[in-house]
Amino acid sequence: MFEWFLSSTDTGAPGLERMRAQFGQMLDAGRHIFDTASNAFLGGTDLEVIRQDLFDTDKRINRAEQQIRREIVVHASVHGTTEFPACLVLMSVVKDAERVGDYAKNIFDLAASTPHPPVGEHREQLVKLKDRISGMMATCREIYDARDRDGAAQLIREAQEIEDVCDDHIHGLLAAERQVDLPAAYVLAYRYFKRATSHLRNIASSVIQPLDKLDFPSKPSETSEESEAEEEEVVE
Amino acid sequence: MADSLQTPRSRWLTRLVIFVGAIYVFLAAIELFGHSFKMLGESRADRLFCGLENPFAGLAVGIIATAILQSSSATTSTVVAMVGAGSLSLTCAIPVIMGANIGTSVTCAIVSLGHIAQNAAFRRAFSGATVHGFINLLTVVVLLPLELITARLLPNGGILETAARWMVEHLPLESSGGTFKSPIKQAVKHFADGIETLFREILQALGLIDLPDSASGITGTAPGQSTLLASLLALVALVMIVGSLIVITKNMKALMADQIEEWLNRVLTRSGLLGLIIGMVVTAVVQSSSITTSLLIPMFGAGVLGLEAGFPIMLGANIGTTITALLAAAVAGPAGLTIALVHTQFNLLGALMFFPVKRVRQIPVFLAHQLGAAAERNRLWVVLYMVSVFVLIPIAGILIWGK
Repeated sequence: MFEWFLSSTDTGAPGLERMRAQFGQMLDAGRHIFDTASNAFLGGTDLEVIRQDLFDTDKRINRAEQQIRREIVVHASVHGTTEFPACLVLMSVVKDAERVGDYAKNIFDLAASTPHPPVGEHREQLVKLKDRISGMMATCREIYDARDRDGAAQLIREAQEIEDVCDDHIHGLLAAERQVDLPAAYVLAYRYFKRATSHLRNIASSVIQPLDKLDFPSKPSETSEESEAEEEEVVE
Repeated sequence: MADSLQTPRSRWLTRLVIFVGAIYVFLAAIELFGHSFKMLGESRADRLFCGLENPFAGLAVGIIATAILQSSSATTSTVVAMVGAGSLSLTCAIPVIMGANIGTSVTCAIVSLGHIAQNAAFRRAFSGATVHGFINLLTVVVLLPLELITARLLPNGGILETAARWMVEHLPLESSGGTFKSPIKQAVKHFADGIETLFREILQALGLIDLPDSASGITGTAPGQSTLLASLLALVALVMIVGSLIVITKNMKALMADQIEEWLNRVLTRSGLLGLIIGMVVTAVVQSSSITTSLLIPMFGAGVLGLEAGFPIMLGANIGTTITALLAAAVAGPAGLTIALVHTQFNLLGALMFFPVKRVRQIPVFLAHQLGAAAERNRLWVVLYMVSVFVLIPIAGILIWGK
């Protein structure tokens, strides 16, 4: 009878929304430095011009991650267990957003270490992948903000495809018998693209997966339906 | 009822009504508590509190009562009521008020025990809890002797008492014939009288008393009967005080949770005046320093709030908690207001002593750091701290001071 009295009138929604907005900004910043670093690797950008901006943005992402973690502790201290699962999900996805920034930095380091930009077939592949991943980053934010379950399932499927493409290229390069220019650079680039995509997939999975299954996505075709079925089981 | 409470607006309005109602019950309880002590009669009340002539006994009572009630507000407001009723002298009440400040830090220490299984988190949480204890202990260590020494030199009690008396004398309080005329007092008096009448009739129906109506006074009745009724009313008032404070605290915390969260986020990585103000405002709103300080313990434990940043919030909480005693003074008369002002001065002076000068500020922080580190190595330090502060020091004071 008195549950409503003991539960907070203030639901904690503003605090959570504030943290989610900060998380959205982390994703935007991650996309910015991913694009910048990838363009630098693929050619056409003076590394020294973008270096400072890229490293400053990465620092901002790291600071935002720490800020969100602090705010999660404050939120949990003030609101108790009301929003506990949402806090844990945020704790997990901010790490993914921060890792996207780290991979962008790795791509920049790769650009600085290679003697010339990629050429030929691999350049074309990498440009296509970069565009798809960059688009996914924007979509990922929208999906997360809107709690769009269908969109999340779609993004997870697309992420899986990109990861498979990256894996195929890596295996192809490792097994290649003919001489390829900059093979190590290509392997690393595909690897970084794949890892950045995986983190986006983790973020999207938080929209539809139960907390314990975050970072362990089901097969793309099963993701949405399985989670719903499991939720129904729990309700029953 | 549940359906009508579904919308946030209706919940908010309901909570506002509950808040106003709980404040009314709290003030009525203060009135009833004071009235029950008046009913006891001066001589019996004097006998009850004669032990408090020893200031360390008063300190011990304040510590123990607050540790048991888990609310310094409950202790200070009952003291205000007793002083207002003339049952407890201002001089005797001051150490009780100081003890209440020490006693309130036990809540923090208990909350910090939740981290006991994790060494690093426990060290941070226990340090955070004990910094509150050290602030209050050190303030008492400075101000209690000062009050006792100046009480021998000044005509109207120690320096805190004299200053509070001076303030009350210069406040534009409406009084007639020495009687404090507070409109709030008048507003709650009928409710308090109604409770008294109810319990008198119950006791009469049970054949335990045969008192005349209170309108004609209680003088001339059998002392045992008036003691029974007065004791029962005091107990009822105490339950009402604690109960209304619990309702106010829970209600306001629930109502203000989002705002409190936002304020705390602002001071996480800062150390300074903003923290002190936020500590003060949050505590004044929820009417409980224990709530404010206990909220900080998980933040200390997780390491997101450092001792230096948390320290001013604790000082602010000490100042904010004085609002409850000031509120109680609205129905307790000039004497009640005087002791409430002593409480305010005590905590303001504590903040003035430990906040502005960095080296002084570092004393309680250093002590808390050291104790936290010692407790991390050996948990016996926790027991030693709790027993020393809340049991041994008051007993030692009583023994040293003598009867």
